[in-house]
Amino acid sequence: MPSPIDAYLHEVRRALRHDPILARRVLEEVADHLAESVAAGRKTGMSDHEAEESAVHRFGPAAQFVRQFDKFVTPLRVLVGFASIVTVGVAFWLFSVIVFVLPSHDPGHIPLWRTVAICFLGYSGLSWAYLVLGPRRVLLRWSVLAISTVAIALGIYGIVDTVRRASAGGDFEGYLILMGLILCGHGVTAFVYSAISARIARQLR
Amino acid sequence: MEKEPLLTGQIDMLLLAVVAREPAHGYAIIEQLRLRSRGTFALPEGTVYPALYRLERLGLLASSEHKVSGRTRRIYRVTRAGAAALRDREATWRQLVKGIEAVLRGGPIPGHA
Repeated sequence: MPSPIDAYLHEVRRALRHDPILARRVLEEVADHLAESVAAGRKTGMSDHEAEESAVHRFGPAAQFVRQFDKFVTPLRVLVGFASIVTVGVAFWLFSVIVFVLPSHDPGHIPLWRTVAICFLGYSGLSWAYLVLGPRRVLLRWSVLAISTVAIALGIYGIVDTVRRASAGGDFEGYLILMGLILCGHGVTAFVYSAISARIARQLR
Repeated sequence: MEKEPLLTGQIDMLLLAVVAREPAHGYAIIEQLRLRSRGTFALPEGTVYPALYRLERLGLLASSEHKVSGRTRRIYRVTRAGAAALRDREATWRQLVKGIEAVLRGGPIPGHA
């Protein structure tokens, strides 16, 4: 059975899992505070368990404590907001290409672009889940990173291939460059988020 | 009447005043506040850390990490902007207290014989 302090810290960590940077700072401070509070309680003759319970009680309910930081959890909100706008924008763009542009200009490529659209939306859905559920879901994390590797490789390939074909006298297909940049940006963002949050999660153990 | 509503809005000034005397970590700040107010400001402990965090984000406090007994301790100190803000708030507070005291005493209204 976890001690009252361990249970309390676990609850705070869980509530702040979306923002590992803030979580690290808050957990360190709360842990230090509770340790001091327990030491003071022991001096008054309390048992270890009583001192821990008293320290946790005086600190207040974890949910109430964490709620006070809600307004500061902005980095993740900005990231989620930005990712949402980009995802909706790209989804709308792919939809309009498949439904309005390709049927009259290049119907043979409709299946390819439909597959690209489905894969992109699947990738976005997984990335969303990763952001919302936090970095501690190992399977989700590695799935997103594996797909991000593929996305970055495909993005780079798309950009290089488009530039190469254009410089060889072919049409400059700017939408392929845009798609490549979106894939690379998405993949790199996933790696950066993962690296930062994993490092902080290790420090929190 | 509860004391807490009276305290609302003054917590920043109180925290700045405590830290201005000496850089300190959260637990020590709460203890100082309790002792110096002779128990009047026995704040719920969990309310102080979000306030300290907010003051740091406003640039009124700065903090640094120190290792103590294997734990990471965050020590707060008042910045130059924090010291100026404290002076302003203290002046406003003293003026407010003077005004309240004058009303409570029920003395003569200046200019009205």
